[in-house]
Amino acid sequence: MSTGKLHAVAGPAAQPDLVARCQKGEKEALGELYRLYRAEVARNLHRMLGPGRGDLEDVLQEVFIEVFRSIGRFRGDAKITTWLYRVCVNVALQRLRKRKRRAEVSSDDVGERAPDIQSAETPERALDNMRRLDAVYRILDELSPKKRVVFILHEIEGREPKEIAGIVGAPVLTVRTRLHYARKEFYARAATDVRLDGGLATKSEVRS
Amino acid sequence: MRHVAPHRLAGSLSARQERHVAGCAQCAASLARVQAARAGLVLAARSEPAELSPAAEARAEASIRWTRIPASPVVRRPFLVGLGLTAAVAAAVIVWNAREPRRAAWASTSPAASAHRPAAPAPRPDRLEALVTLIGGDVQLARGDAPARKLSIDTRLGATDRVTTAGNARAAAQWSEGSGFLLDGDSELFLARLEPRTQRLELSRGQISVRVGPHEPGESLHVITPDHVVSVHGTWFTVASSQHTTTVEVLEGTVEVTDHDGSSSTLLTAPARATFGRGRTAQAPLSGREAARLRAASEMNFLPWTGLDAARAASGSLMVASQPQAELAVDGVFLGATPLQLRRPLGRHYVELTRADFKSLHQWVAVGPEGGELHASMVHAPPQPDPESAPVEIESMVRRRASQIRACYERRLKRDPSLAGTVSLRLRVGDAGQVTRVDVEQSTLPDPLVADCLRHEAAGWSFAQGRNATVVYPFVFRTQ
Repeated sequence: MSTGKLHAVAGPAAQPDLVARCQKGEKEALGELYRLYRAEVARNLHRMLGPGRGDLEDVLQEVFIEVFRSIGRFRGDAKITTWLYRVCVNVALQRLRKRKRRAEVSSDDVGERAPDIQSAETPERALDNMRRLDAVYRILDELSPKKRVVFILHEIEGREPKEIAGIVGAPVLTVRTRLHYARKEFYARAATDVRLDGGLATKSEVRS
Repeated sequence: MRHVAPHRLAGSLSARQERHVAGCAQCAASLARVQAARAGLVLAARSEPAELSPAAEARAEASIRWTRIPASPVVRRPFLVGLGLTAAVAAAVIVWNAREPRRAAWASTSPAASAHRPAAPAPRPDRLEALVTLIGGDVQLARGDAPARKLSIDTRLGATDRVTTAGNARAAAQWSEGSGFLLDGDSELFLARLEPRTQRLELSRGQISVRVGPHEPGESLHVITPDHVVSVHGTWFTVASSQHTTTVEVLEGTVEVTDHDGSSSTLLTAPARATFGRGRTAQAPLSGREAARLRAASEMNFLPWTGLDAARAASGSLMVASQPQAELAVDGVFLGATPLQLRRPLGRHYVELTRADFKSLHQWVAVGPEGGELHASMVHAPPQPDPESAPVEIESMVRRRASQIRACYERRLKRDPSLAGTVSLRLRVGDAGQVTRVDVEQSTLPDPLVADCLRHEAAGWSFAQGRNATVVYPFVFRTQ
């Protein structure tokens, strides 16, 4: 399945010296780096952590604090976007582990989430989409953080195992194994999850 | 489903599998759920985050301001553990940064960096003075070589002052809008630097709470314990030091804790507590209750701030003593045990004195420029049952609303006959007995709509007894 879009952001072609300026500690350059990548980082975190979890802005700040602190160690071996994505995944992993310990995702999240009515055909469908998305992330909440990350990178972001291996810093074989067990666990849970019942989705929509 | 594992169903079905599913209701239901989950993954790929709030942008700006870029990165360390610096470089950066924070960014010696270096050194910033806002118990001030003397509410604290508190004493001071500290009992603090752009507080022992309000670009604040450096990213936090151990509790924002030798560095984001020993760290999140207790215990009695002289002129001192000792709250904010001397804006203030088994004392007190005193004698009295202190009568409410509560469950039971579990609701009861907020504390019911329905039901409740309280009540649902 390759439903997701690749969201590696374009390199800062307009500012080839941006990373070098950041490494020299120019606050203006750090500001530019933030403004250039904040939307993509927020989008990646949004996918990783799930919509409506309420802590996206905190995690975004954590990512950029870590980016600013570590930019001096960036040696240019990978693209800046790949490196940023790696930081993003590491921070998300930490947050997921913290969530697992605190079970901080409370049951009332559904009520606080605004349905994305604009992109849906009707309010009913928007609500249905919202519930389905919520059910998917609740199942993902039950996976271990490591399995969840590779599952999301592959199934939602559409990344290949080799690329995922570079992001999570694990061998490709390990990524494939994690992905296999994550898929198995995810769909086994989905098959018995009554929250996925009664949707408006049709087979044609799913199989398209 | 015995024939086909669910994850296999995620792909296309063989003719044999399709024949099986067509005749098996349970498999068809499972297949529908798996397909719904796949559709959910497609939705997740299309889903977009909400626009970032202005607060998030402001916090990012603060992070940029407080960032120190390591001057010569040489060592790759585990994620979020090391600064990637040798001990010597780290120490140099910390000291250099504390001396002149704007210079840290220009530590590189490359020609490109030198282009940004100012031609002449920046003028040395003015000294900053702090206004004492609260004193309780025996607090001593040592200034220069002069012998230590009792700290007075009128004292202006400045750099190189040393403040020492006795066992049950506490003292708070403020140097700008929303920025200052509260020193707890049995503590010793040296104000190493107190300047508009740099504040450096050295805690030899004991505990300090620090709050940092809006900053100017380039401003930095460090709390130094014998073993660690706690740097601020815009926040409210406490630091306690004893026996080579530093405990940091973060209530707002993010702080960075670094070993003196630069060997490790940890970022703590609120709400969090961490204990740093020599070579070991224990970290745990703060629960909501702990954070609330900590906030209440570290209130610093801050004043509206337009400068020290203006704040001083617009405020007066108030001495509150009681017999016996009682807990004092002024304008609804708990400030500690009496006797307490504090500074409040000129005008009338609501003073409350409470002690278990004693009648609470509530009184308006006028604070003028000449200062005022309140000496109260607490009257011993057994606790009076009144709506304020009576427990919230949730049991009787649940009995009265049993049919509505049951309906929430039974509506969903029609869809899932095996539906059973517990939903715990957390109700916040306001000062008129009305429910002001309902949260689902925990739910073991697979159907979230039952909890949603209960929340809506409970949101309309109003209690005759019980005020300003939070109640957690579990609703257990099972079929007969």
